[in-house]
Amino acid sequence: MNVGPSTRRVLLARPAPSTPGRLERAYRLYRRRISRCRTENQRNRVHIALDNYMTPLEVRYFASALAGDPADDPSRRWIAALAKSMPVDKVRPVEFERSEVLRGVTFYTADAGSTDRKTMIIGFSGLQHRLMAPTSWLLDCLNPMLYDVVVLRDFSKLTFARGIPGLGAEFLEAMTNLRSRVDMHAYRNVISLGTSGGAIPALLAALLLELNRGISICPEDFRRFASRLKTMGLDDEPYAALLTSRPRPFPELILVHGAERKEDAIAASFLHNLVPSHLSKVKNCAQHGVLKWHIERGTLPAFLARILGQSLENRECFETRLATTYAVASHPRGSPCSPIDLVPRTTASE
Amino acid sequence: MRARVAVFEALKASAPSGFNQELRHLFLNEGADFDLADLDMDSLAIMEFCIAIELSTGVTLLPAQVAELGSTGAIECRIREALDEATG
Repeated sequence: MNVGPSTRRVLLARPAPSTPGRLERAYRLYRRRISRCRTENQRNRVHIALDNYMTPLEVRYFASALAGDPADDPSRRWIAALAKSMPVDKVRPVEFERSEVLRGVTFYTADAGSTDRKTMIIGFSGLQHRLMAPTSWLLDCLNPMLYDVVVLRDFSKLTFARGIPGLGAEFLEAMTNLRSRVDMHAYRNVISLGTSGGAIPALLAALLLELNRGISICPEDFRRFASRLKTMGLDDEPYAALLTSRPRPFPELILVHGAERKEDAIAASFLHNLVPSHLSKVKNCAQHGVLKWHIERGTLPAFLARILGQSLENRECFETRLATTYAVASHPRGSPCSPIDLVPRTTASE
Repeated sequence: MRARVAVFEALKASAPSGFNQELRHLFLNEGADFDLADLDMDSLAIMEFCIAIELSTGVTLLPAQVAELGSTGAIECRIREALDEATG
């Protein structure tokens, strides 16, 4: 079937537009839900869940709607803090819309821009169901004309080993079925990005799905990952085989960790010795939450642009596909690659 | 014992990277007590910890209280007291 770029975009359901009526319904639902909370912890639970899902547009709508509440009201304090920390905080001509494809699959896209000029980011969240930061903060850094984002969440908290309900009962099956839902070839670039518990799955997905790039932020020790698979009665061999596979073209793999955090450094180095990859140390960072560390310093957009290998905003930088920057053959198994430094810059305008 | 198990499970859920296998072993088998500062718990992790404690025990501890208590031992003690009060 011959279809144009705008219709062949992806096989994921396109979200309904966030009309004022839809946003208002979501806001009223929130008010009803929060009115039933009796303790601060119950309110925090609702707010953390919303942090994990909301788009920048939804955050701004809620912030505006709650602006008339007393300054010390918990809802107003929550949304004000969320809105205030938006890394770019830019109202855009088109905005990300959100669609819950499956319970563990959320699709963020804007009804604008042609898919063949866009990059798809497949996000593998950690155990807290987020990419180390509220989703709206990450989306705020990306131009919706140039990016689509899928966030995968593992509610079994087993680092996707038991797959995602509706996609597959184990990781490899879920990824194979994800490929049938997302038309990877329609995009200019497809990049996996996983944090913490989602970091190894992101690496594996990049190899299995032959993506352009795989970014693994603070991965756990692969030996512990493999050991957990065994205790769950799963075979770790296909995962190890995937890591030692050398598909061509080989995706560019980037392992990120805080330079001052020893445990994460050991885990990343171990992975680095298993698979050709760039080892990226974030200087002066002693935290596991590397993305949050960058948000606190106002350097998240610049950092994201660097690890994604492309501009977050400028169409001009999208004329070419990402290219693998080194030959796999020259970096056989166990051969470390040159580390690249990711020192935060003071400018955050990339 | 119920309070200690609740703290253990809440730490596992809220601080998976800081409360690593080695610390879990020490906590369960050696009766170890940790400062929260050593468990890499940020404000979100402390919120998640309080939510997990409330869900599993019914005891409401607020993030500010937990930060003030500062250690797993002090938190466990506070939960035990609250449970004892509740059961008379």
